[in-house]
Amino acid sequence: MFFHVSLDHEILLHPRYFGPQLLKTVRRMLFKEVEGKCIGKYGYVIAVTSLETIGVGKIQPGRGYVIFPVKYHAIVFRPFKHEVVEAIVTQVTKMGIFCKIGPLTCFISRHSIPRDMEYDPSANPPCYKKKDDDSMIQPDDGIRVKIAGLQVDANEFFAVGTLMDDYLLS
Amino acid sequence: MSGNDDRKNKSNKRKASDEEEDEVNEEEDDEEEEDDDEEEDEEDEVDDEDEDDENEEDDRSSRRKKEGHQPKRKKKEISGKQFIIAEADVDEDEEEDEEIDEPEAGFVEQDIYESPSAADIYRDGRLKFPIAQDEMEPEKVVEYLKERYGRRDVGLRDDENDDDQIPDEITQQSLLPDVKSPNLWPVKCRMGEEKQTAMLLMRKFLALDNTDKALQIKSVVVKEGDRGYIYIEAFKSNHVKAACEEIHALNVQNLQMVPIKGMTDILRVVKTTCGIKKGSWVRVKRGIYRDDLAKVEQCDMAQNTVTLKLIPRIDLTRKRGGPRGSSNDPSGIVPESNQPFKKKNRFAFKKPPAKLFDETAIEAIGGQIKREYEYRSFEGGKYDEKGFLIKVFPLSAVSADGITPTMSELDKFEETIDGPETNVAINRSKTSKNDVLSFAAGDQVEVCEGELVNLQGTIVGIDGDSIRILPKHEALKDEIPFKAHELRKYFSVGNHVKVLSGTFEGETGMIVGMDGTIAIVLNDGTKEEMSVRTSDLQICKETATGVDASGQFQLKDLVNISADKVGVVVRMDKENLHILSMDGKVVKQPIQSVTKRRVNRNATALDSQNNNLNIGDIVNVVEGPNNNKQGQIKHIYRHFVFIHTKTFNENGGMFVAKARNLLIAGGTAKVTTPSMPINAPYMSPRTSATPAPHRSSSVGGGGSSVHQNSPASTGGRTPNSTSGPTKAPFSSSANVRRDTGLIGETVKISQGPYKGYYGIVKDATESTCKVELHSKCQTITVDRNRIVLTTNVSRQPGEMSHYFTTPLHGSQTPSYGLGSRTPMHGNQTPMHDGSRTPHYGNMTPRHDGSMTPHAHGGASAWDPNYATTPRVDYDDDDPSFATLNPTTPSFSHLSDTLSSGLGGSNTTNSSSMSNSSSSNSLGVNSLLGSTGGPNSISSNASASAYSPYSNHPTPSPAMPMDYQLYNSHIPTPGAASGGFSSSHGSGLPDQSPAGSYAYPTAINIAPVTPSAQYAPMSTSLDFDSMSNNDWHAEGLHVRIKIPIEDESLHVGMIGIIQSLSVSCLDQFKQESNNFFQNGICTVHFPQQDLRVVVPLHYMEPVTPKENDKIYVIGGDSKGASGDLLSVDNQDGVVKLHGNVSDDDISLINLKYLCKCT
Repeated sequence: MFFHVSLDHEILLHPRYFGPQLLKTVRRMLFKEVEGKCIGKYGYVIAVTSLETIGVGKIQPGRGYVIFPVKYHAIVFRPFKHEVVEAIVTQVTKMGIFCKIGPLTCFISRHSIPRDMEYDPSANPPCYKKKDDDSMIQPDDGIRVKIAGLQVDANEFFAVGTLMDDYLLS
Repeated sequence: MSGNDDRKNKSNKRKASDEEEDEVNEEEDDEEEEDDDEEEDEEDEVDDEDEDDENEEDDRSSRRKKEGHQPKRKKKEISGKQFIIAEADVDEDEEEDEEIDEPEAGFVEQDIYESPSAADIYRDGRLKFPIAQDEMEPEKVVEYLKERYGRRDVGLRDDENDDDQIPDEITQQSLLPDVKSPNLWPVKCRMGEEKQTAMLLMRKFLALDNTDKALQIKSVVVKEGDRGYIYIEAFKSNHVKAACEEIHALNVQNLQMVPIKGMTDILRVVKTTCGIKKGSWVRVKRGIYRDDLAKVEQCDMAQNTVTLKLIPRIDLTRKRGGPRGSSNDPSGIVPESNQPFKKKNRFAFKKPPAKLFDETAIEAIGGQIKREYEYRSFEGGKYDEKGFLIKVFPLSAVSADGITPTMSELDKFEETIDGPETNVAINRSKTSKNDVLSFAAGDQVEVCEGELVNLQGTIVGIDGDSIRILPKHEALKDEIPFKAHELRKYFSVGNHVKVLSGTFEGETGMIVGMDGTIAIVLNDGTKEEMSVRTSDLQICKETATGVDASGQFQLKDLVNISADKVGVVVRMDKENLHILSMDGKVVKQPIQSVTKRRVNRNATALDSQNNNLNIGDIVNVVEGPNNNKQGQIKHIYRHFVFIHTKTFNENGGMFVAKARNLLIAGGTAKVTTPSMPINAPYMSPRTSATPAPHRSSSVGGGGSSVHQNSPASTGGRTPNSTSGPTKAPFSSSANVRRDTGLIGETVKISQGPYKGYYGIVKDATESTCKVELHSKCQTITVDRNRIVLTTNVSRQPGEMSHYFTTPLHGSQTPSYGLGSRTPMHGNQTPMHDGSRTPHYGNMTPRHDGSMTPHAHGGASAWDPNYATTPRVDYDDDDPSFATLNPTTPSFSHLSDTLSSGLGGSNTTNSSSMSNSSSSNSLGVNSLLGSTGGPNSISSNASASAYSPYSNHPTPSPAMPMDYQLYNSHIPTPGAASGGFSSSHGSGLPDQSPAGSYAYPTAINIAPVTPSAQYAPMSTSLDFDSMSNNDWHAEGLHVRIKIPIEDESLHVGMIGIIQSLSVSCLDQFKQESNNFFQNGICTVHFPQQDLRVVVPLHYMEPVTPKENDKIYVIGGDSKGASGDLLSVDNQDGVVKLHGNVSDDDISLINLKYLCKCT
């Protein structure tokens, strides 16, 4: 799910950036440091939409670096358990399917794939195939997945998905 | 009466008799006495015999245990009924008793009245009761009765189990012993006779009751667990001692009473069997089924037996024949111990192996099987239709605590047992205390038993064995207590869990699927699936670190499996590491057998394109089994590379590949630092070689050192050593940031404090290079912009050529002087020369050597580029260059010893030839080399700032001499050039090693016969003799030093070189293979007015005299011309034209000077 949230961040700036471009640099650093990263609580920061404030920089004693507290608004992507999302299959193995939900990697175990879909290792690329009809899952396919579990690391999410539900798969 | 009493004690064995509690309790209570009265008659006869014979009695008691439960029960009931009646009847007696007692032991009475302590509770009630009966109103009687029975109930409950109506804490407290209650004395008893002794004591008590010697003990307790002790309750130790008198089984010395607080502990009842119920798993404690898993079919608490279903162990190896005693003994233990003999082979196992009952097998060995209903019985065992043994065991022979059947065990049952039931059973098996432990507050649980089955909830707390859960149900808002076995953990897909026990203990993962009570967990670390029982799981947030128990190993660590085998840890369980070894197999090794390998961050390998691979690089597999995979290098071991990829699940994404099958992906973040020495070996031989010669030379110019280097470099893995595809490796190696092209170059520093210094580039990057200065023992780092390649610098002619020229000259002269006329011959046929003086040999080659440069370039020897050539060639990346390397080793060998230098090289003509030929092919130099030649060169080099040899801090002593000689010998510089070039063109196959050597060294081509050349250097003679090359120039005065076929020419004739040409004289070649490429020049002999074409090596420079015009043919100023002002010993004072150096006047060794016109 996407949210537009207000977030804080601290920019540590090397003294060499002190100068007329200071704030610009801070802004640039913010984009660089924040966008595309994952914050455990809020999820993946997709894009910074606006800067609210750039606080007063504080010189770090003994180092010369300056910390700028920055408040900004950003669009974040936070996956939730039981959320249904669309994903792109990246890899199909006999254990299951790996897919990407944007920046999030999701694994769908073969136990969570409908029983009537069977792994076909001989296909190229390997895929999961339904016996009765032609529908199959292979890399680069788009599928609809329900997130069954989420594992949150400091800077990464890992999801376990399932296809065993209504209207999933495609 | 006393006689009666004696008998009574038999019946008195009403000991609590609860086997569960294993407690024999003898209470000397009035109440009991009354009972005894009643029973007395019944038992009279029996008791007679028993009295004296303890053993017999014991038998009886045990018999009673078995058979007597029913009767006893009955008795209890009876006594219960009678109790009231008896009370009524005997009331008087009792009171009398008390009264009788009182005077004797007044304190007892007091005690009883004042404090209704636990021990005296019955008596207490007793004492009051009569009063009540006498004088109280009916209600009060009722009250009393209630109180009594109520208490009694409490007491009983206490024994059995807590009931829920719990006002008990207080009542319980009041039952606890206090200071006024009798103490408990442990008395040592003969082992195994505890119970008999207790009985004996009881009898004794009864016997002596109402006599003077009445025992004043209160009770005797035997505790099952305490072997060798009985406990006697009494107020004083004296009483105990008195009671124990004459009982031999008891030892009353060192009596010590149990502290009051300890008393409850001693009598604490341990529940043992409450966990056993139908369907639970148990293990047999004894007999051949020891440790076997069994399933409870039926549980008879009253009988203290359980009926188990287990896999029989029948000895099938023993033949059954004849009548079989059908010892159908349902009471487990006895038959059990005999079983090994009794049982038929079911299967073959260690005891008898466990195997399901197999009729045919039994019949095969002659066993007889009886059929009863659905069971078959054989030798006393009952077997169900599936072949399981159904057998009755005493409760004590079974342990039910903490049984966790292994999967394999369950499988055995499962195969034959109906599947789902087993799963349930697994859960049920978790009824022991362990179970409670495996639950924790916060766990999600599901009720699996009872009315609320399938109710889900969260554990909010655990009190003892009751677990309070908060149900997840609209209608249920309150916490509900459950027993552990009524719950099972509940997980849903997506839970992150930790495995608490089993093979995957300690692993964490996410549940991806549920299969009954089995959860499929996706391991965090290895991304593999694990099947785990839900009971072994626990929700947890954190992720396993992948560190083993000892903390020594971590996932993906590189470890030594054996001396020469390494692998990467891909999984670890409790005792084993799963290691992906370098051959790509996963092996399981106990942790102890594995040692960790130190991480070598500098480990490198070459990929298929000869790029350096470092740890952390991203690589693609381009060949082999893991083709097309991409991953990051985790470890490098020799040429095995361990790669981790995310797109691959086996072995946690690790796989192993050979370095040669890899290709580094695009750019790697890691820059190889140029100074990293470790890289050197992987670089192309050329680069690696380059530094080597320098080093060696700096070491002392020892030929041998050069030697070592050269072979190394030639031996180098790179293809260069083979003359063929030389180019490729160079180019590839060049793509590292390090600028290998510059390494080994002699450069001049053009700016900065070191301006003007010369040095050899030891290392170079795009922006800087390390230069080892010639003049100082120092290596400095210089900006690339501040150095100038000497090869590219336009130098004065003198500067450039000096290497070659000088030494040659020097060498020439001496030989000449010696008068050896046929140096050429010597040179030509090395063997010949060998026999001759080394000088000769030396001389000639030089000549040839000198020619080379010309030959190579096809230009005049003085041409700076060519003179210095080697570098140039190198820079040009001339493939031929590379081929120089190969020659060396053999060559050097040949020339190793000085004396053999010539001879050696000659004799081993072919080899030298081959070597040289390769060098020729390079087109480098024509030098043939006499071994001597090179030496001179090298020495020259040392003199000159440019040559690699210059590392020698001090120029060789020979130098001055050379100069002199030179001067004297070379009259006309420049004349020779023509000859040279021509000779070169023809490409005489025999190159002088020297020639090739000289270049190479400069270039880095260390390999060429270094030693040979070096050795000679040390002597000035050699030095002189060798320098023969490329001094010739037009206008020089030369002297014929070797007889020529041409009659008109004599040794000693002096002429002037008019033109030089370098060519191959075919006839020379033919004359002797050994004869080398040579140059010719046209010499004008003014005296005879002859013009003759003379091979260069037939001539030597004419040493100038004072005031002659001179041409410098060697040394620093080579190529310069000037006037010889005076001669000072070996040196000439020269005024050079054209400001070769700052001062016009310089001192040059005569051998470097040649007279010219």
